Amino acid sequence: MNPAPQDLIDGMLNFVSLAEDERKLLAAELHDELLCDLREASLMTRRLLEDEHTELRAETRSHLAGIIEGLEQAANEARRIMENLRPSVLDSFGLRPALEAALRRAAACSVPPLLPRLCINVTEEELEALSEEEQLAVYRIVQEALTNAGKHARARSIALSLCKDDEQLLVQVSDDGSGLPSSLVSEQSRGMENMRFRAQLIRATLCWRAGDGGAAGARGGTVVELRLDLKRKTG
Amino acid sequence: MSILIAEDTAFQRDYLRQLIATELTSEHALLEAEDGCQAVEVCLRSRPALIVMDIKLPKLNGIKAAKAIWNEVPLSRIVFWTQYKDEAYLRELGKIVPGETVYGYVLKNSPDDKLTQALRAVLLDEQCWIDRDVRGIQSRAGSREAGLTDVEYEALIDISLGLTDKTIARRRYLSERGVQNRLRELYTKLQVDIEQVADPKLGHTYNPRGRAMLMALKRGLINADELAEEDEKLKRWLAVEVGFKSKDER
Repeated sequence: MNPAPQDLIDGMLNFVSLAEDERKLLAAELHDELLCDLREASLMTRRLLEDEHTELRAETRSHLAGIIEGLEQAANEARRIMENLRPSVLDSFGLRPALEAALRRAAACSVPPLLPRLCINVTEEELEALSEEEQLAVYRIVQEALTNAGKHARARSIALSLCKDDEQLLVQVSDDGSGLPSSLVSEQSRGMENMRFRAQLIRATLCWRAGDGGAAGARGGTVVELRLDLKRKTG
Repeated sequence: MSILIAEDTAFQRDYLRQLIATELTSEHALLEAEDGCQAVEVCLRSRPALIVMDIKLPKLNGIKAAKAIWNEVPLSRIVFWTQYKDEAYLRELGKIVPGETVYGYVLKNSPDDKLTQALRAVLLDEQCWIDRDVRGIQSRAGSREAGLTDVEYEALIDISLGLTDKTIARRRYLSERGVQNRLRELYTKLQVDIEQVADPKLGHTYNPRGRAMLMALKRGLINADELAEEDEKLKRWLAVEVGFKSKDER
């Protein structure tokens, strides 16, 4: 593929950062408005339930307890959406913790749960030297790769490896499943297209290949490889 | 002495102020900060006995503010009060909390008494207090009948597996001080301290860890099968942990 001209890249970067800003705003609204209201409702219901001066029928009590439980479920769901819109761990702690959290979440969420493997051979300083756009792009690409790995048939473990290779950051997401089945390739093509797009914007290269039993100690499987210059040239 | 409330919404500051005054203490002056930078400033100036810290704060988030505070005053006791439920928060906090202090972590949707418990534990009992909704805490009916809390039972398992304070701290997201205080509670409940014989030449005759295991065995709180199962769990945890341990050592 020919590299896209710089002004096109700049335009697309601008577009993506607007979209990310919008997501951030939505996440903040969930946090400040919806979660706040749910908390309020839950506190008020609890007070009603625990008020010694009000006599409540057993049936009413159990209804109130059900409402509290429902509110808690709604809050959990709102938290999940919030984290998806804007990875708060990335904002609070940085890229390495955010990637680790994504790995553990993906491993725990697939059915049956996968064994997460993590291998990090770059310093946090090197990762934090990446620009905010780059960090977010790496995070989103890894997040998508992890989700896909969880879907690969018969995978038992899922591995994330970060290392330095020739002044480049090499990020690998690998699983030990049965590779990319053709049926999934079409289903995932939109996700894969998104990953390619994000990689292109930060001038990173991205490729899929069959696993060689390398990073994950895998027996085959799929490897997604992202390469990004650590020392950015200006202009 | 004072208590600092670092929270950006006025409504929630009012809630905290009221709860602290009625349930915790009326002796402490209550200070307030509306953003992370202010929180750091007030802490360095007034050295509060306790800080209740929201994580999503303007200007500087609560984690970065805590780091800055712990950098200057490592003994600061902070209870995080937040909507963030991802276990990653505990994992990373456990790594940055200074060994010599204790901290707490409570979800904002919790009932009043849970928050009160957390504030009391950190301020008065010098214990780490971690919301069980954020991480699964092991529990066992038998140990509760014997008067052990779930976290004390967990500590019993950890010392029975031969783990060091540092490793227990990492595994359970505690500070080392938090681990030591938790073990002290456990020894008291198992009456290890009462049994202790001090000899002028030998000093203390028992190592409390080994002695606690004996007392727990006698009471049927642990057994070989259970420990074998726990050992498997420990190995699974270590398998993941070793990955970034090698990185930390670099």
